Amino acid sequence: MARILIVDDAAFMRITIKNMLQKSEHEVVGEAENGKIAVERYQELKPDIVTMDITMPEMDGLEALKAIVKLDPNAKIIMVSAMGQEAMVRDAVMSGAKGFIVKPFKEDGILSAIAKLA
Amino acid sequence: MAEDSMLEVYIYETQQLLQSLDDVLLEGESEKRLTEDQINEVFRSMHTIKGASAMMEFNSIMTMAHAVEDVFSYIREFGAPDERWPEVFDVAFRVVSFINGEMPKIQSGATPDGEDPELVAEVHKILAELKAGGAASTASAEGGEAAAEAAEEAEPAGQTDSGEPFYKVKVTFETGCQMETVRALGVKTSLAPISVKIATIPEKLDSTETDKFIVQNGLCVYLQTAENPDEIKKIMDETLFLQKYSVLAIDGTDEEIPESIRIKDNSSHAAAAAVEKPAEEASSASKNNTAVKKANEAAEASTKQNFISVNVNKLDSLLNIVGEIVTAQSMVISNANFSEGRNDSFDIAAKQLRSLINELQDVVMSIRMLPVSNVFQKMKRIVRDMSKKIDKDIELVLVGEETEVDKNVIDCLSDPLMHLVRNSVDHGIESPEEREAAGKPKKGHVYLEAKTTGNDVIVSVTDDGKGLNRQAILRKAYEKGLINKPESDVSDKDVYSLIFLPGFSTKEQVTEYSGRGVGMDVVRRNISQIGGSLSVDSTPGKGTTFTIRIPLTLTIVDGMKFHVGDISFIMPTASVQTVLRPGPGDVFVDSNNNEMIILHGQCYSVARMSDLFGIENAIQNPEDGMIMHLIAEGKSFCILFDNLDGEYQVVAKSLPEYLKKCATKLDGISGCAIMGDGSINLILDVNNLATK
Repeated sequence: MARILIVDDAAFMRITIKNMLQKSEHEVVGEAENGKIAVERYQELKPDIVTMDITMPEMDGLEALKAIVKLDPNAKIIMVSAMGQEAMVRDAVMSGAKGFIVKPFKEDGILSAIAKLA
Repeated sequence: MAEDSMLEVYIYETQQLLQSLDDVLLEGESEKRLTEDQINEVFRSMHTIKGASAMMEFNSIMTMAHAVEDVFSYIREFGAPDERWPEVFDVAFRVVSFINGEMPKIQSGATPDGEDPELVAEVHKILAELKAGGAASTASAEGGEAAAEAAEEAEPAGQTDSGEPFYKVKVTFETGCQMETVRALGVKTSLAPISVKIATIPEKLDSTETDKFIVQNGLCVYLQTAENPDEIKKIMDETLFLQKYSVLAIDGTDEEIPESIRIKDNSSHAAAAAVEKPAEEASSASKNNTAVKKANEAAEASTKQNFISVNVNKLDSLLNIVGEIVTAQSMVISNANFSEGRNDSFDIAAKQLRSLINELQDVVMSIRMLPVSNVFQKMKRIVRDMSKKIDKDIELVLVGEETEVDKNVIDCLSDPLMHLVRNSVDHGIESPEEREAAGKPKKGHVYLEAKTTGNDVIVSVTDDGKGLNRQAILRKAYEKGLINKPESDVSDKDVYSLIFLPGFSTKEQVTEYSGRGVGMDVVRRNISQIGGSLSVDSTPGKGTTFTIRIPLTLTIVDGMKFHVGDISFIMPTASVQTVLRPGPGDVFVDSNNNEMIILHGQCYSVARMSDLFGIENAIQNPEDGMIMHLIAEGKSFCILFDNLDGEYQVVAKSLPEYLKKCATKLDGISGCAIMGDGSINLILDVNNLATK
C-alpha cells in the first residue's frame, strides 16, 4: 500500500489516474495542478510515490521533480509523459525520476509501475 | 459511472481549453504574432488535449492536437519569422474548429470519427517549412552542441583499474513501453551511483534511433562496482517496465565490454569527474531557490481558485426543488388560514420562512447565472473567419460582456445570435469599396451589446452598414402577398418587421454564411421559444439594429391565468396582445365555417380552446367568454376561453414523462405549474398553437 500524490494540470488526467489507482490497494493522498503546488503538497503530505506530469503551467514537472529531489533525495517520482517528450524525460531520468510512463497508458501499466516502487 | 464522469470531465476541460485557445489566438492574431507566454499556453493546451484524447482513444483529435503541439513546440524554441505567423494562426484556428466540431459527437455518446488528413498535412508542412527556414540559422549552434556532447562522451575513455569486480546487466524492457532509449538511460543513471565505471551497449543513449536496437537486442549495462550484486538487483527491481533482467559477473578485460571502460592501461579522469559534480549541485541549488520563491507565489494564487464545477442537471433539480418549496410554503400558509390556529408568532414565523425562501431562490438563481461573455467571444471568431472569407474589414465590438443570464438562456441565445451576427457581416456591412464610395470609413463595425433591464436581458446586434432597404422589402412583400396595405400606410418599423415573416428573403444569392436557407423567421422562432422577442430598427445608410429581449431566467414565467371548463391554463404574457370580452355578434362565422373576429380593423381567426383540447363543460356562446389576441410565429390569431383569473409568476416545470408518452392532446402545452393553492395549471406553448 502506497500513499500517492498525483500531479497533472489536466483534471481529466488526474481523475483518470485516480480512478485507476482506486482499484488497487493504494491511496491517493493528494493532487496538484502544477509544479509549485506539487512541491508544497509533497512537503505537506510526504507521499510515498508521486506521479508527475511534465507539461504544466507555473512550474513544469521537470522543475518540480528537481525541487522535490533536492528536498528529499529518496523521493519516488514517476514521470507521466506524452509521446515526443524524449528530451524532457531524459532530463527527468537524469535528475532522479524513478521512471516514467507514456500517455496513453493502460491501468496495468501504471499499477505495475507503482507496485515496483511501493 | 467512472467512465461517464471521465467523459464529462474530458468534454468540459477540452471545451475550456478550446475556448481559451480561441481567445489567445484571436488576441495574438490582432498583434500579428504571439508572445512567449501565449506560445506556451497554446503549446500546453494542445498538449493537454492530445494527452487526454489519447487516453480516451479519440485518435483523430489526438493527431490534430499533436500536429499543432509540434509546431508550437518548435516555435517556442526557435521562434517563427513574421511572415509565417498568418498561416500558423490559420491552421491553429482550423484545428480548434475541427476539435470543436467533434465535441457534440462525443457529448451525444458517439465516436468522434471526423477526419481531416489535409489539415494535418498542412500543419506538418508548416512545421517542415519552419524547420527548413530555421535550419540555416541553428545549424551552427547545433554543431557546437554536438561537439560538446562528443567531448563529454570521450571523457570516461581508458580508466585505471581500481580492482573492483565487473558485472554485466542484461535488460529487456516490456514490449510497447516506448522511449526505450530514455529508459535505458534511466537504468544507467540509477546504476551509476554505485558504479566506479559504467557503460552500455548501445553505447550512445542520446537519440531515439537506438529505440529499435534496444527493442530487438535489449540493453546491456557493464559496470564495475564495489557493491554486492544484490544492490544491483535491488535497483533493477525498482525499475519500471522491465520484462526481465540478469546480472552476471564478468572479467574486466572481456572483449564484450565497451572499450571506454575495458581494462587495458592506466590513465586517470577521476579528477575531471570530481570537479564536475559540485558545479552541478550548485546550479541545482540556485534553481531550487527560485523554486521556493515560485512556490510562495503559488500559495497566494491558489487562494483565489475557489471554484468547483457542478453538473448543470444538479442545478436544474436544485432549482426545481426550490420551486416546489415556494409552492409548498404558500400551500401551508393558505391552509393555516383558520382563525384558531393563527396567532402573531405564526405570522412572524411564516414571514421569516417566506423571506428565507426568497433568499434561497435568489441564491440558486445566481448560481445558474453565467456571463454572456462566452457566447460573445465565440462571435469574435465568427466575425474573424467571415470577414477574411468575404474580404471585408470588420471589427466586432463587445459591450456588456459581463452581463449575467441563466445558463439555459445562454444555451438558447447562441444560435440566434450567431445568425444575426452573420447576417450583419454578410448583408449589413458593405464591401470596403462601397463604404469608401459612401464616404464611410473602410472598416465596418458590428456592436454586440448586452444589458439587463428589470427581469429582461436585452441583447442587440448593431452594424454600421447600409441599413435595410424599405423599397426592396416592400416590393418583395407585395410580390409574395405578405402585405396588402397601401405603401403609405405602413410605418418603417412595420416594413422592417416583415423580414421576420416565414418565407421572406430579399437576398437571391445564398451565401455560405447567413443564407443557409434559414431566414430571420427561424431566428425569431428560436427566440420566442424561450419567451423572448426580436425586433429590428434601421436607418438607411447608417446601419441596422436587431434587438433581442429575453427573460433573465426561463423557469419563471410571467403568465395570464385563465380557465376553460374546469381546466386552468397559463399563457405567457409575452405573446399576449390584448384580452377583451366580445360583444354580441362580434364573433362571426365565415363561409368555411371558421369563426372570425375583427379587431382594430383586421380580421383574425378565433380558435376555441375547448375544441383544441377537447374540453367539454366550457361556455358555448362567445359572448359569455373572453377573447385573447396572440402573436406568434409571425401569425396573429385569437383564442376563446371562459374567463380570466389574473396574472401570475409561476415556476415552469416540464410535463412528467409518462404524460408525454400516453397523451395525444398535449400539443400546444409546454409545461405545467403548481399554483399556491396546490392546483396544477398547464402552460401553453403559443408557437405550437399558432401552427394549428
